Amino acid sequence: MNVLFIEDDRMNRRVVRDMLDVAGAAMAEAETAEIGLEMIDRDDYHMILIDLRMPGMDGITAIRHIRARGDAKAEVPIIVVTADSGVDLRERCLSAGADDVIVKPVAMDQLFESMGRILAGDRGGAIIS
Amino acid sequence: MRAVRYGLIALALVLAGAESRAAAAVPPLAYSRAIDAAKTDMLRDPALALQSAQAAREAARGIVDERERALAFATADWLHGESAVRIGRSDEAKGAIAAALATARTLAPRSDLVANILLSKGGLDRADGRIADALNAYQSAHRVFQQLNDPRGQAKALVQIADLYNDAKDFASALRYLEQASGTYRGDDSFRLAILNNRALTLTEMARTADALVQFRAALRLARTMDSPALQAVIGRNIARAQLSMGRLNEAEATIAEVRRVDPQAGLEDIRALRSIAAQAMFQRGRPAEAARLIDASFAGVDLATTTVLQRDAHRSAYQIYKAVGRDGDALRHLEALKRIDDESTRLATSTGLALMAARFDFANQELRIARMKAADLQRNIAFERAQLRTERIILIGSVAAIVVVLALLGIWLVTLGRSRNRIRAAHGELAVTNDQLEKALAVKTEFLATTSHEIRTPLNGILGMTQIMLADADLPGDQRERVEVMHGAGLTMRALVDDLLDVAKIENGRLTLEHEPFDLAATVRDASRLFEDQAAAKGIVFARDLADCPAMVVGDSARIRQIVFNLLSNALKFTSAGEVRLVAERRADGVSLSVTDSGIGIAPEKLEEIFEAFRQADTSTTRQFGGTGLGLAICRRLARAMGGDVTVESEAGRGSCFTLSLPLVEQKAPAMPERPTVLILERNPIRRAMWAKLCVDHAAILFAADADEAVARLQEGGVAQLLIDDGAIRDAGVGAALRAITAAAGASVPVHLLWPETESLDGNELPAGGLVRIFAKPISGTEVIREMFDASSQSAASSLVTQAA
Repeated sequence: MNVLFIEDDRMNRRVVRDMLDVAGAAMAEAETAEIGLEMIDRDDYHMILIDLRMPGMDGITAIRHIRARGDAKAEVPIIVVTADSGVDLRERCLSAGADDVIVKPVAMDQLFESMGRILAGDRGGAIIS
Repeated sequence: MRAVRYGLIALALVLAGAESRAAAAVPPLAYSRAIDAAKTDMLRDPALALQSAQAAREAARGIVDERERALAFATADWLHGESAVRIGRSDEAKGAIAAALATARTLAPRSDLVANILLSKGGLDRADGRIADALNAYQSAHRVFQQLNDPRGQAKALVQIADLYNDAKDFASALRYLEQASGTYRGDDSFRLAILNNRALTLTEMARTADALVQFRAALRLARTMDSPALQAVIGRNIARAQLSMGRLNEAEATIAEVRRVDPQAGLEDIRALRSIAAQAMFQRGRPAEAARLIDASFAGVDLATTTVLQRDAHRSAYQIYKAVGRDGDALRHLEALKRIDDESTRLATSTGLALMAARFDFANQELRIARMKAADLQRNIAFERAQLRTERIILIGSVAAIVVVLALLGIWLVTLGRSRNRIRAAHGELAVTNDQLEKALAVKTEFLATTSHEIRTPLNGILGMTQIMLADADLPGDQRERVEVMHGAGLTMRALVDDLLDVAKIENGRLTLEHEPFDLAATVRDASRLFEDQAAAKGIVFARDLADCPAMVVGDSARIRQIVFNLLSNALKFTSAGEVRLVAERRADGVSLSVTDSGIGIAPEKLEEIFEAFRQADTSTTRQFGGTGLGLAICRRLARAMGGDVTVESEAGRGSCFTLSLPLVEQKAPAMPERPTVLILERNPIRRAMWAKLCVDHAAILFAADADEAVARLQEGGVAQLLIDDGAIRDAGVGAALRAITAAAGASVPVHLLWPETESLDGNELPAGGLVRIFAKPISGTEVIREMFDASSQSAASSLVTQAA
């Protein structure tokens, strides 16, 4: 499985990459939302993980961009991974088009559970590979 | 207190628009009639309304549908409570309202019945001086009305909140809420009139008499078009008072004459009120003897020890008049009454003001939230820039905020020392300024907490992320594993700390939201407590659990209940070094209680309430000895109260404590669960396990095994209907051996399915000869696999596939 993590913090990218490695998933990384969007143009991913606060374009805007695409890639499952904790955080992310929100520090079980659940749903197509 | 003056008009509104839509579906005629009668009589004759409410409850027994019947009971109980409080039977009212709320919240959490009951509860809380609870109830009511898209209801809640601020003498805030109320809803005349009148009274208190007169006049015009002499008289008297205070004597006298003319059938209280105003007018005219006669008549037969804030102005006039005519004894009696009323209202203002600060429905936050929703992107940019601010600056602001808070509290304390009425009046201005500063300090604190939390969570992600990854590695040697576990535990504690701080901030800002979803309470409590079994065993403590009487399906916020139970157990174990910790669930008439009893160090009686305050443990030395933020119990109690329950404690120092969480939860009928087959899945990958769990949720109960040995052991226990194997789980010890062992254990009756990559050929010789195996080539849609496994018509095709594969 091929996952793209869009996150400006290098340590956080490293942590999630090692976690995904435990579950046998490969992770590509993007330091900014702009780079992430280009990578999505170019390559196919089974799932996008994305931070909210980044220099330049923020996560919510990036999610809107992805969901506004005209092609099949617009349907890629997206999970927000953030250290924010606002009351309406979840609502904001879901209304922008995210499938789930995970608050840092990331609990590995929760990340895998969320990924599996979403991949088994409509957006992920429930492909067992 | 002074709110009573507003209340005369506002209370009527609570009932006028309240129809319990939730219980309206074809109830028996006797029931509807009794409900209508109770509402009609509520203001005129509450005793009669109470009888009607009881009759309605009796009639509701005839409703066949269980849910409709329960809601009808709740509606009747609500009206019972509303009428009981009006005839002074407030304990009875509290019981009725609590019962109504518990039922309505469970069965129809988003109904105007719930919202109206919440308004009633707010009134009761406020009368008891539980301002924070009252505010919470009004807020909740406002939220429900908002969800129902009922602007009139929202405005009703806002008017009640404004009244709380009036009690606190925070007139500026009161005015803002009233303005928000009138902006929310301008529908019917009686409501607009109430708001105009209340705004004018608030403006009078702020010494903006000219502005007040404009509002009063608008209210009077409205009262005329409504053709209500009683309301015209109430507003007329308010106008006359305002005119007198501005020295506009002629106008005041004309107004008094007008009031007499429009309302010739006024009641005794109204006549007394008007006489005292007329007396003040006479006095200002320089005719003290006539003024004294009028004031004598105004107070004839009145016990001066029992007057309320309604008579404050009258007492003041009496004092001036009697003093002028040399009746010093009478003057003194009225001065004493005046002082008593001022003391009472100052006391109320102080306690209310503090309570409001502790749990405020912050208008500014409310506005911020709307603005944030409108311009989500813009707001995020601001948030990002704020996050860039230097930490030093945040700390500086934090310290300044703390100093402001201390100064503000000092200011309030000084105000309460002030005795004379004039000094208090003057201090009101200062209080408004102080309140303003406090509000700003609170906003800074919230911002500070949010930023700090974000900044702590990021490095914590690195620590906890790596410890989780290391612990997931089966090859980690034992001694190192222990060290990493210690690190991991410390990280988890730190995360809990940050969560606690944020919870406190949310509760303080009134931004805590609760779920109302069905869940299994017994299972939730059992799960939460399971984590403490090892901890108790390690300390040599007996951990006893009795959940036999615990209801299963209830509607509420499972995560928050779990959090409370977790906290109580964690405390019990923390403070107990020998003996026992016991968790017991009990059904009660008003819901459920969960009690945690320990044989620990206990709490001295004088500290019993303190432990529920934020940042407090019974003894500061306990912080050093046992650790913890001291936030846990404060959060637990506030969460429990927000859910309509409470956390209480009984304790004896040295003997142990018993904490009880009581919640108004009512057991629901569990949805009929069809008997589901059990599927055993051999799968190691955690992500794919979660996929299977989701895919099977409607079809089967799932068990997972990580390798062939575990699968064989599980099959031998029996009860497995089908078996699904992912190739990744059987490769270590040889596919053939694994499959043979598994199919042998499965026997002929348990179909075995194998997922195998299509790019790889499977040696037919590796497949067990007699076993029933169907092969799915990966990649494949999981939905497809599930359909094949559970669709009865495809079962028969299995053997042909097997033949093919073999």
